[in-house]
Amino acid sequence: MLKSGRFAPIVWFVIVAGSLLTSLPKSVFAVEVVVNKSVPVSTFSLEDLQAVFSMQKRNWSKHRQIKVFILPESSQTHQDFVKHGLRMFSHQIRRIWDRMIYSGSGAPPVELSSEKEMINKIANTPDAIGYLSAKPDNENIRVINYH
Amino acid sequence: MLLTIINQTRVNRLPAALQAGQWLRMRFFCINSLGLMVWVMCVTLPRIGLAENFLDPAKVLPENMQLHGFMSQAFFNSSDNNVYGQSADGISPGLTEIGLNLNYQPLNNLRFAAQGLYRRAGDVDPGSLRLDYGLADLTLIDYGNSLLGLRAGRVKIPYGLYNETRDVAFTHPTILLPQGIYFDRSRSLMLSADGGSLYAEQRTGLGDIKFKFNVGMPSDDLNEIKTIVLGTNKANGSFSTKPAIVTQLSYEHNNGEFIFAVSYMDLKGASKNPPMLK
Repeated sequence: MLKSGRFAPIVWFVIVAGSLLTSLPKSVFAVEVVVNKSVPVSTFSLEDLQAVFSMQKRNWSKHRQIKVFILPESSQTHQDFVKHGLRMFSHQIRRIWDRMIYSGSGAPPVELSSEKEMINKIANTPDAIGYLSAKPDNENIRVINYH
Repeated sequence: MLLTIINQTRVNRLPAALQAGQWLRMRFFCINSLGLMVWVMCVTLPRIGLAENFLDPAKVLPENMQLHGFMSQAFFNSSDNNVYGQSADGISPGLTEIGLNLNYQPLNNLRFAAQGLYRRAGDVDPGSLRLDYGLADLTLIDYGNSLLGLRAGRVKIPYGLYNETRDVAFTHPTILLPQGIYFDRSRSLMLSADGGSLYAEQRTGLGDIKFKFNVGMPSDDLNEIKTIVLGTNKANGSFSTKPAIVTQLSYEHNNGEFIFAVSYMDLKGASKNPPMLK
């Protein structure tokens, strides 16, 4: 029986922590970085990818501005992309965007509400880049490899 | 990691009353690195969920326009000293900050941005609205890993690590910024300046190097300056600032995981008519 003694907090901690740990979703890394077929780049380094999504690298080439799209922070695809694709923390990239927005030094990526909207935007926006949980069956969208 | 600060502040404070033509001169020089500093115990609601999406700007605005905002309300409880109101033996809701900004990019290399800020801070500021920044940003060179550009208008002052977003609580690790660097007493001088900024960025495999050179006229909040210099704002006379130079060189490793910055600021102000204590 559980008595309210000195061990009670420890017991509660174990129960709560244990149930939290086991209820965590098992994230399987499956994120594809996708671009509109017009994008003149086929291979990418991790640094390039980080620079594009942190809005430091802003053009594919002269007069061809990169259009960056993201999913909401609450989406698993976004979390997987930031963690395994960009190899950053989601608060880290959020801080870069926030500092840009609120100091007037830049604009963050455009946030879309769903993967369906992402497919639609990437397919129809020249020079667009984004990410999806699986490669879509769309001839206007190309998967980009990076290393 | 503790915030390391090498900070020299020299304020040649003038005697009780400022004399006409005399300079109030402040020079600050600081080297600091990113870290954590625990300050006054307080609770805040840095970003209220509805703030950023309540309009769903994406559906209202054209694609080259973005609207962002935030709202923050702090609650202070302290053991002895009062912070923004009666916080000793109580809870003071004395600090409110609300901001709304618009970003518009008509051309690939030209961008306009402006932010309005409402701030209420204890007895010092009963609630006021100001234009925090309002600028045109022209990209001169954007080639490979290099970037060079110009900003003109009302530009934020790049001082220390957080001055450019000092009124946006969730952009810095502590609710209140360390007062040894980010003075709240003379804050109006450090917010933004009307002028221009030349900036350059270079990305390398080892990190990013950023440089900013700003020249501009800082705001001259007469009441605040009188309070600092004279200890009261009940005085006649007027005060004006002179164009200030602020420059910053920073190095960011691994996308801002570590940031090192050196900033230099030279501010000058002068009293136009000798202030007289009432």
